[in-house]
Amino acid sequence: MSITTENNEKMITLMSSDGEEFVVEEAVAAQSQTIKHLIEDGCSTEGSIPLPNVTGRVLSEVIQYCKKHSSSDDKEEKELEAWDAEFVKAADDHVALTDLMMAANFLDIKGLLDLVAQTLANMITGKSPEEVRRMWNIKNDFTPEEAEKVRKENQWAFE
Amino acid sequence: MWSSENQENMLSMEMKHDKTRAPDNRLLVDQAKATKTEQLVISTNMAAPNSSYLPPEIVEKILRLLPTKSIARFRSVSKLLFSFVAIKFNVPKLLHKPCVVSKYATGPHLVPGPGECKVEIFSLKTGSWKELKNPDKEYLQHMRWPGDMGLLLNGALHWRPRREESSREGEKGEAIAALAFDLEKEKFFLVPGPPIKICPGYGAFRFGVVGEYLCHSHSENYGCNNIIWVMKEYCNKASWVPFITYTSLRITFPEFFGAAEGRVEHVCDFIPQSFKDGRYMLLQFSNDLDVLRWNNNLEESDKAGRYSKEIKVGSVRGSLPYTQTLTSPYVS
Repeated sequence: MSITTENNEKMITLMSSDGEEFVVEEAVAAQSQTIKHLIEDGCSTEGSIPLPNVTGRVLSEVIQYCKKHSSSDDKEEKELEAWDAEFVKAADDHVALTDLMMAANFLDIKGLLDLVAQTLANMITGKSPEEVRRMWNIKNDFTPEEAEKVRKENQWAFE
Repeated sequence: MWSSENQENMLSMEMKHDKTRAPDNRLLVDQAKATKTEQLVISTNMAAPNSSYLPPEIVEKILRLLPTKSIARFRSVSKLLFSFVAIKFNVPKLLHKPCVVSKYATGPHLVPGPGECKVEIFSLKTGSWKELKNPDKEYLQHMRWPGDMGLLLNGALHWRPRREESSREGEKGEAIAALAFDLEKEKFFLVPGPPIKICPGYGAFRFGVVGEYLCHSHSENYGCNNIIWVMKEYCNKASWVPFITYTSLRITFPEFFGAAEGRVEHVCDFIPQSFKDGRYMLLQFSNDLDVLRWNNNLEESDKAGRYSKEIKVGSVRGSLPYTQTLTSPYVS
């Protein structure tokens, strides 16, 4: 594990819930407000920062995003937007996106959270209640009478 | 009601304020009790094993990005989501307070005067009209055109006052921007107008709501200078600032007037109206409708420029603001 890069940039080791280690520049990791506060509080001096809520697969995606966005000051905004669009496209489906959003929420990375939330919202817009249930495995617990009442109230939303 | 063994596949509620409570003591709440809920957890076993719960802040964040119809459909997904939408989007509040539109009946005259007008309020909750007892008739004199659609801002409906009231000094020596009706208190009040000097060539004014601001527009010099004012702080007379100034204005008469272009023969009106996010402004010049993008931040906009023309809509006969709401007209 290297401690500094050629630019003498301080390195941080992040450990995922499944024990995978990621060595990243502090500036990249500090895109996450959660990690930034941990570093400020001196939690990173010994070994790595454990992230019990994030798997290695998700963490590698998050780091990819943070790397791109930490070095983006001199880049064109449009290029970054295009990169973001490709990034969420690569996440493929709502399950991966949901994982990514939960990680962004836990790690407190506003840009990533907004990006993924908008992508999920776009997916949900126009979906029927049944499709939303299937998407997140939510059980329909309305009784037939209740369902009828809600359907009546919500009728305008299906027109 | 839900049983705890089904939690894997459904929504469950957690009372987070009691940290000592055992996890199996999760509560399920009906809509009436739902305001006590602080934590909503959605189980998603389709997701990766380490991320089996969807926290409420995530659900809320996604919901806030959805169009109103999609949010309403979300309510049909499950009981808990129904309650969640009700709490987060204030639906019970909307349903339990009267949602009010106004109806002014004035007898044979178009302009109401004391003793010949009444105010009726339609409540979506009860589905019926009720007459407002003892409306302050002094205020009703300011009503310019009975049946004008009121503009909603800050919990009150606003109407354009009678033209002479706006251009002359009002009752306290102040120009009046709007006659307003507080929906909760069910009382009328007057909104003070911007400090306008009335001079020859002063023209018709309009007012509107853009974002969270009340706007007021008027023309000077027979339509050559057109100014839109914005009231930065609600009902604070001193907070009116000139926002957009149009100097030379091209007027295109619609085709049904028989001429494509014409001389300025009358002072045209502006109708600033709000779009959903308040970043756009709809302006009507005579019968031409344009959409302008504007900078919502009044402080920043001083430096960055206030607006740019986005879309030219073309000839219209009129326009009305359109807002979606989660309040269903079918609720009894």
